[in-house]
Amino acid sequence: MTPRRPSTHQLRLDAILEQYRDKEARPQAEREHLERLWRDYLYPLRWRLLLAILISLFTSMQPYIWAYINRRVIDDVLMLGAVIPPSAMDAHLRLVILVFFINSGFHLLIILLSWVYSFQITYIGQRVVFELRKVLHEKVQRLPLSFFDRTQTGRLLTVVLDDVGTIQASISTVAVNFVQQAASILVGAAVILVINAKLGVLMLVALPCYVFIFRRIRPHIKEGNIAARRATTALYNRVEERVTAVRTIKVFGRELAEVRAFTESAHNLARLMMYLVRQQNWLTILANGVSATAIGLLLYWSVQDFRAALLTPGQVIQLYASAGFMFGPAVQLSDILADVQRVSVVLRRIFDIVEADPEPVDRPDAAAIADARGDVAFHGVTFAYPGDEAPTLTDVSFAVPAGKQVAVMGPSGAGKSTLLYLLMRFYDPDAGAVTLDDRDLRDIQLLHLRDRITLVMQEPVIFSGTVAENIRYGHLDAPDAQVREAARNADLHEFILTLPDGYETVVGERGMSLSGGQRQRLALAASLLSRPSVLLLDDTTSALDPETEARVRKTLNRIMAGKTCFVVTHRVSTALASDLVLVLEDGGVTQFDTPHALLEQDGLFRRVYEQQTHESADLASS
Amino acid sequence: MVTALVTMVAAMFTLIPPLAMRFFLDHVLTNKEWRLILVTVAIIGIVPMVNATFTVINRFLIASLGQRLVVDLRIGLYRHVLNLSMRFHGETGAGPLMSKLMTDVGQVQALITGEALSIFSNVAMLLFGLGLAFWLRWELALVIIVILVLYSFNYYLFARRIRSANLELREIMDQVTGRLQERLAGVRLVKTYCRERDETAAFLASTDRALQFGLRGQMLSVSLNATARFIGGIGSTVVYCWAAWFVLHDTITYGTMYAMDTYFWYAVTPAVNLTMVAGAITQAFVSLDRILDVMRHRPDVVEQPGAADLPEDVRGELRLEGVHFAYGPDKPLFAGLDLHLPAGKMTALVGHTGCGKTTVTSLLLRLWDVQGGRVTLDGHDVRALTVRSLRRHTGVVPQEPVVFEGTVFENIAYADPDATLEQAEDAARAAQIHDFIMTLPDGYQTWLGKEGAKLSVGQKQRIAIARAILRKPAVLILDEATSSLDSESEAALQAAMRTVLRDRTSVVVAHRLSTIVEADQIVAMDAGRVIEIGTHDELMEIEGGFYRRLYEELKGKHAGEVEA
Repeated sequence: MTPRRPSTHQLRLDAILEQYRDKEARPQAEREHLERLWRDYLYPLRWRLLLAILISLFTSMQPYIWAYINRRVIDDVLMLGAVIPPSAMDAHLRLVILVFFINSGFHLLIILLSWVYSFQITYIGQRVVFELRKVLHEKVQRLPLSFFDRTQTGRLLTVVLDDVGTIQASISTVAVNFVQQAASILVGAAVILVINAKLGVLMLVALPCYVFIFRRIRPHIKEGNIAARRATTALYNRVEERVTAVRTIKVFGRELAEVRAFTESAHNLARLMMYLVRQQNWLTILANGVSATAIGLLLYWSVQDFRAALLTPGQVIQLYASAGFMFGPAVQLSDILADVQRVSVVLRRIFDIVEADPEPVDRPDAAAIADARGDVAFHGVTFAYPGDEAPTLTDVSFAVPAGKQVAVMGPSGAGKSTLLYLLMRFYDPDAGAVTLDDRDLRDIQLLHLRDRITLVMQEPVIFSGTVAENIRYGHLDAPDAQVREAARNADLHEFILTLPDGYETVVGERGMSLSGGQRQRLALAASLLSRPSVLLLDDTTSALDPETEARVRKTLNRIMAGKTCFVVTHRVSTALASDLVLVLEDGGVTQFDTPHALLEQDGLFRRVYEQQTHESADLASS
Repeated sequence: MVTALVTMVAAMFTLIPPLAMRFFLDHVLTNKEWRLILVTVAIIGIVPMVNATFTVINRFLIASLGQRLVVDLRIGLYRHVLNLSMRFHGETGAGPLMSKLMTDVGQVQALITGEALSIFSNVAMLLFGLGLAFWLRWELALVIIVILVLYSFNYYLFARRIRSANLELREIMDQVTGRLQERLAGVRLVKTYCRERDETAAFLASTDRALQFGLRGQMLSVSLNATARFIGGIGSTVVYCWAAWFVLHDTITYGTMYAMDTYFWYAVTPAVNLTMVAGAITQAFVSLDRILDVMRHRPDVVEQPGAADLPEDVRGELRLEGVHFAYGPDKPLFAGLDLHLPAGKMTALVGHTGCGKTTVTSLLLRLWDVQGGRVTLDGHDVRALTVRSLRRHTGVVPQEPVVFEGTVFENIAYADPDATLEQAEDAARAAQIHDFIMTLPDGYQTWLGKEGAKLSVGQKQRIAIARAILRKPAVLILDEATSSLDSESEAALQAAMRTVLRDRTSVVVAHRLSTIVEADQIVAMDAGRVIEIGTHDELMEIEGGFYRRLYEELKGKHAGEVEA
């Protein structure tokens, strides 16, 4: 979701909020996601979770125990408001020492327990993160390419790394704190009720008021938070986009306008932040008002009861302290609700990926093929990209015998690359079938299929790593000799030997940068490693400068000999050197024959031929 | 200033409740002075309200200060970076850096308004708490001092190990992120070689390692926290029991004992907070450093005082006179380059990659300044012109077309925000993209995703062309503007461009012969020097000439085998 550009300078605050509102929230799904989180990820760790909860139950009572000890000290040791006879003094002093040891021991116990607790919670968090990342990563790798076409890499990265991290941070608090805080409130209420029923009732009235205030204001804060976060992201994205394209901004002299637009967004963000502060301030004032009134009333009534000798001084102080402890958990309990919200937003993004349809898997009876001749055929293939209405390919049929080279031509958007992707089985056709050696691609194990058919992309991908690792990417176990042979075949061997560390030179983002031609050759070498039967070249050389292109093309011509090859190209010269030319227009095959036969026909191929030879005709005339 | 003052006063006010409680305990509970009940209870009830008010005022002041700061910083930074010259932006672009910087601004703001002010209040709390403790009973205050010393000792014991564990964690996570990013971007390759399972295994192995370091770092923090709490717990027990001892000996009252207990935590808690602030400050200084680093860069293309606007009737005659230029100290490119681009004519720049073709166009646009000699437009040194007016009369279509997130119309009208839809349509027609736009669901109002995700490179190029010709510039620069089009579309586009380019000075960088051959003047360049100038026919006359060889090369690429 991307917010549109605000049209007026001063938007009203609610307009800003509306602009950045999270419009994808689905309560029903949120529930399911939480259940799933519990079932699949937390349930296996339930004993650790239980231990953590038990410890937290105990530690939640800690303040009340302190308050009780303090009361006993006041009433029995210090005897506040009474006089201790000198004879009993020694006994009282000894009691003080006893209290010292009790308190110290209690401290030690609490700290040991909370250490165990923290360990369990951290462990659970880490474990869940690990499992989630595993599932996500496996899933992401198995997603069909159409998913990557729709989703930005950055977003996937955020989900796998950051979002999962958020889960780690809040999962334990959500699960454990809820129990702990609820217990804390109940214990506090019980303590006060036992000591004095009237005051207990007072607290039972005050707490709901308190929680009510939170429930009223919290949603505004939550909304503001979400809006602020989205506004921030939008701002950052804008900055990134604009600064990356600074040349365009400069060329059109739009710096001032850009700064003005940015100022507007930055101001809107600042106003959102101030809105948040105002809401928080209201919360602070109202919440403090309720708690201070309640505690003041409690103190007043307990002193009256003390005056009537219904309470001891120690009890008055115990009541006062216990009441104070109850408001904390009440607030945190509503915080947990916010945490749950945050977790469910993140869960939504995670499970959106986990639930996305995966790439087609092998049929159970899919064949393993060791080798292939390389006969390729399309039988009435129709294919539309998911989400597209119009099919990219419509009823495409043709057959290419093994060892032939096919030039695929046609205007951009005609479906040339799609044709290759179907051959790679990146996608399955919606109707019809693609066959290799008369076998439906869907009946061949994917691993074997992609071993026999390989694709070299227009913009080669080089991963950070050594040259050898990059060549070996498809076959980790290929021996050095084979890697060298592949490099030699791609005319790369000589160049590699000039590198500082030869085949072990690190290339890619963290290493040496390679020129376009070198990258292209490296990709070729990797694809040649398995000695594929079918080679697909997607406009492999058009991005290169003419010199380099000429060199790469020479290499290609040698490699392609004897293999079934599909070459997507704009160049007539390439087409003329091929055995067959396939012309795609608007998703259908309009021409399919030898290049010389096509020159005789009226059609796209001849038109392109005439255009491009016009250039050399100029040469002839000069 | 006001904010800091409010913070201090607020800190002082939080010290009142224990004193009020002390008064209540001594006078009401112990001495049973009943008439004081209402007063004391009221004080105990009201003081927290006053405190809350202070908190609220304080928070508001801090936030408005912080927001003003962050807005100013961000805008300043953005303006500065946009004005920085291409030297700063480099080839890869500074976009990702900027996005990070914007986060840094947030960090710095958090430091100044959050941490920096919390230092005030924490130090104030610590000092006031300690002072009051001394006033109440100096022996007990000494215990607090001992605890503070133990605290800092404990902190230094753990801090280094936590830091190193976290550093290692960050390093591993950087690797994980880098690898994941690469693999996601290159997912087609992963799939081509069926390496999905291996990739997951590798990812999990490094994630697992990261988790182990994470666990270690977290448990170290937990241990630091536990020991600190233990030290504090024992300290408070000592204070508590010692105070009880004093109470029994009647040297202090129970109220004092209660207040001591509270002040103990008042003094100790800020000490813990301060150690955390230290970490945040280091973090923020890293951010501040990055920001200042960018702010230190000075734009080297600066408008001179007294720069004049170009007169409206620009002819478009361009000259480079004795131009010296280098991208860096060790990368000299031009040493005394002279070039004349006649008004209203089309000049083609040809030569191998790296010969300086694109640099010539950048100098004409004054994206860079020459280091010697001068560049003139209609006889005016471009440095004596306002940058605005210079760029108002020049248009450029870059090699890699830029499409912004926005509507098609907004993208075309980027050149001229006042353009009407008709004007945009005319430009689109000339760029041969109008028909395509009309097939889009919302026509010119179709929203293009980030970086024009929905368009092919060829379509983006044509949008960029439409944008450039919208302003009807006197000088139009086409830098490999049509390289990604198929032959038919390119031919159609060229036919249309012929009309657009008529009577306009145009500079074309191209590899395509059809474009080059038509130029009024061809400039063949090699390694920063002009080798030959002339029309196609003239240059082809030169036996063994540079252009002629280049031409053969290009021709071989396009159609060599046609002849065969």
